[in-house]
Amino acid sequence: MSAERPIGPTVSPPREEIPSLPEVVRFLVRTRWWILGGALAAALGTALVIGLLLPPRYRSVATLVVAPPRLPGDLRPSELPVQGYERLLASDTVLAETRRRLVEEGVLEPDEELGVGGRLEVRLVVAERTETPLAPTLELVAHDDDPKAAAAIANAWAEAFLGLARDLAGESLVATGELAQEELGRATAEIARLQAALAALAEERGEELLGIQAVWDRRAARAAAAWEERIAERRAQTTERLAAYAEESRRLLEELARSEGAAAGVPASPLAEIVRLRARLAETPQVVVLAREQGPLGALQRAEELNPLHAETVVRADEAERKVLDGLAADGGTRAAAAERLLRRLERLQRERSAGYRALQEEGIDAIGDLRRQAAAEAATAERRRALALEAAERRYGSRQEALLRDLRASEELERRYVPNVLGARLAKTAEGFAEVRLGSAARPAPAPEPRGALPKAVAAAILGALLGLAAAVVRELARSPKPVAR
Amino acid sequence: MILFIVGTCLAILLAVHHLWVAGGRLVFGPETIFLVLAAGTYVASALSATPRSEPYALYIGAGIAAYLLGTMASKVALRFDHRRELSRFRQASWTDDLHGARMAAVAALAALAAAVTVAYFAALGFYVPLAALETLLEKGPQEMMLRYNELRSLTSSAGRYLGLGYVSQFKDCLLPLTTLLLFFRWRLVRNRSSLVAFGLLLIVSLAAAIGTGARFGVALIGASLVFLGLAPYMHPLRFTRRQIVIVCAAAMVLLSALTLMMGARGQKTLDVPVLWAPYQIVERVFVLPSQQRLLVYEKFLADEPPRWGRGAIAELSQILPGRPPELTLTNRLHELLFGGPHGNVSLDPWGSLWYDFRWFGIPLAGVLGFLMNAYYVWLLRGPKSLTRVVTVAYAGVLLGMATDLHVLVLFGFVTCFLFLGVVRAVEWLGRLQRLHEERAGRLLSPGG
Repeated sequence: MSAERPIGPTVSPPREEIPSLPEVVRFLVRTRWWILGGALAAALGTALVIGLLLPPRYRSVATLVVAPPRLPGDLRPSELPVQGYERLLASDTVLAETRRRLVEEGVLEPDEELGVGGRLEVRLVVAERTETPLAPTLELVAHDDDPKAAAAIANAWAEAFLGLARDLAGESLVATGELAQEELGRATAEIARLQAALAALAEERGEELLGIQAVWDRRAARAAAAWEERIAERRAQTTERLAAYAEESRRLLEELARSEGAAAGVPASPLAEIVRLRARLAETPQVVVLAREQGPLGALQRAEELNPLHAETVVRADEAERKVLDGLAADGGTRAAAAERLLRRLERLQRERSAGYRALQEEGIDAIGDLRRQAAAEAATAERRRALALEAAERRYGSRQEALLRDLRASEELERRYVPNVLGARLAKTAEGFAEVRLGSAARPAPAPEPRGALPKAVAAAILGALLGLAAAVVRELARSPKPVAR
Repeated sequence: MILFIVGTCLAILLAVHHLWVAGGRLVFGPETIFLVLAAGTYVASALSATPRSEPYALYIGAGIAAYLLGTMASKVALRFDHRRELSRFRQASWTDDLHGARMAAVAALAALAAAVTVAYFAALGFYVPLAALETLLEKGPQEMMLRYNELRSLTSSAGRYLGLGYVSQFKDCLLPLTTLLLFFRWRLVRNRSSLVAFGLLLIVSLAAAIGTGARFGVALIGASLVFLGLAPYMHPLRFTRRQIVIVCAAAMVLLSALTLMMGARGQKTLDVPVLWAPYQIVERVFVLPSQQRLLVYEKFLADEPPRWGRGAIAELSQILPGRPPELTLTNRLHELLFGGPHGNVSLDPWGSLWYDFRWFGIPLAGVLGFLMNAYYVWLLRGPKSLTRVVTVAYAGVLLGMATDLHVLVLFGFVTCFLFLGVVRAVEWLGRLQRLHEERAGRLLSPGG
């Protein structure tokens, strides 16, 4: 205690007015003989009274176990709380029946008293070792001077009670069984109806899902065809434009050759061949763009390769130009230079037109690619909508099916519950054992008289005696003069 | 409409009471607790009343008004200045009881309460949470809840032979009270031994609390309210706002868990969101009881002649030992509402007043308000010792929460004062010894 350290500014050591524990202990030690004497006297007195004056009594116990019925069902006789059984055990009917049996057996005299609180006692315990763990158990306790009589009383009491409980349960079961029979019929009909409804629902569901699939398939096919048509149209348009562009290139080349060919002194026939070759080169790309479609309306995969036709045409154009230039060079240098200039202009014009042609071609390819992408996006959206439509339908049918299944389970549960009641009602007319409470063990004559609780009573008396002794000691202490002692 | 007007008048009276009688403070004295419960009951009753039960709701409203006037009369008669009294209270030293005979008596009684609790569970033969846990592992939560409630009812049934009413005085009253006292002591002395003593007792208290279920809810609320009511005014303890919040949160969590375990009335599943538990507590405290009692009024109380106090005495006499079992009023009310007499539906204070005194109960509610406030004044003005103040405050919380005299005794109101009496008696023995030693000293001294 010395290590204790009060906190805070207002905490102060214990004031002297409060007595300490040692002071109390010293008082108790000082008055110990009063306290112990009181305790001892009371304990001894109690023990002597119990030992010498009370006659030996025998105690027999019959046990009733409150357990779930063997045939469960909601319409079984309503379960009484255990206190209900206690009250039933103490009822006049059961006690009168017990008395009648005991008088017949000669255990009791007709005018002998028999009542709960006197020779009979009901105890509620929780049995741990029965088939139903922690099942409430009623102990029917009978006290008597004769061990055999005590056992007979306990057993007669239990039998009288079980007889009454059985009658009550049987009557209740027969009455409720008729009701259960009707309810069972209704439940069975309801189950059949619900099963038929479930089958119809499954069929309806299949049909609707197939219908949704068909509608969306048709829509997808229509959309794909429309897109293919637009792509083909665009492709034709591109081809047409390219053809017109090539024609214009030819025309421009021919005009240039016609206007300046004579002045340059290039012979008409080779010049026409060169123009024809240049015109071909203007519409023949140097590389070939290969576009591969990935699936119907899929995106285009592009690849480029050198165009052999272009290479061949270039070679032939070069040969034709060389022949013209060689022929002119043999005739004289002036005409050769002019021809050379014309041919280079033709080549430049052809290159310009080639670039234009290539751009036009690229534009067409891009446009078709765009169209394909749009088609693919539209197809994906349509696919998502189809999935949503299917899911919504599935969910709608799922909830309807779930509701039907829930009803079906409830009806099956009802049927499952009613069957035992119907059976129980039928059996109740002939069989036994439907009471919620049954005999756990019969009473037997006790080999030794029951303990009379001498020790606990003596201990209780000792505590009371000690308190009385303490009170006496306090009175004695107070009887002394509290004033200061006279000098 | 009339109920709304009465409610508005009550709100005004409550505001006056709060500002004038309570000095603008929320104090957890008996009269405040009673008032909070009564106001909640009135609101719930007014919202649920039918034309037939409307007079009963009006009766409650009138009773609350009389109660409030009674507390105001008490303030005037006793010259009670809340601010001044609390100021004096705050200046008191709480260290007298930390050592010596008083605390030794408290410790001894705490040990006795713990021993009785342990012996009770040993005699009962099973421990509800363990059995429920076993069921949970074997059969799942639904079965566990049913088993929990079944075992709870078994404890009270079996308890008839184990003296549950008497055990309850130790288990549900003395144990929380002494735990609370040891908690305050630990807060004041702050050493290891006091912490160990408090910790051990707390473990036993909590184990006992969940061992049988229901009554501990009251003890827990009581202990928490005492803590909340006293903590701000006991200077050396210096509780922080955080500590108070932690205590409140712990109490709320435990109560919610117990509520969920027990399930709402009529509810057979555990499929209840955990966050609903506080609402369920409100529902259990205000809504359901009010609806029940309106029904009780319609079916029973409305046509009953007044008993002039015999009803309360009959209920009170049930606690005497050796009485043969008989159907009490609470059993009959249970039968009336639920079809079987094996359960209890108790009347609230207003129902008890109506049952015994009819409309004469309204002036008695005023007397009740006077006495409740006087009790609180006595708590503040009396000797400022830790044992006395905590015990009287705890008993005051029980007083504020009790629905009738019978319940008040069962909750341990009388036990609290017996406890205080034993503590005083032990101290008195020490004084006698001191007197004796002083006398012996004078005799032996040279001047004697």
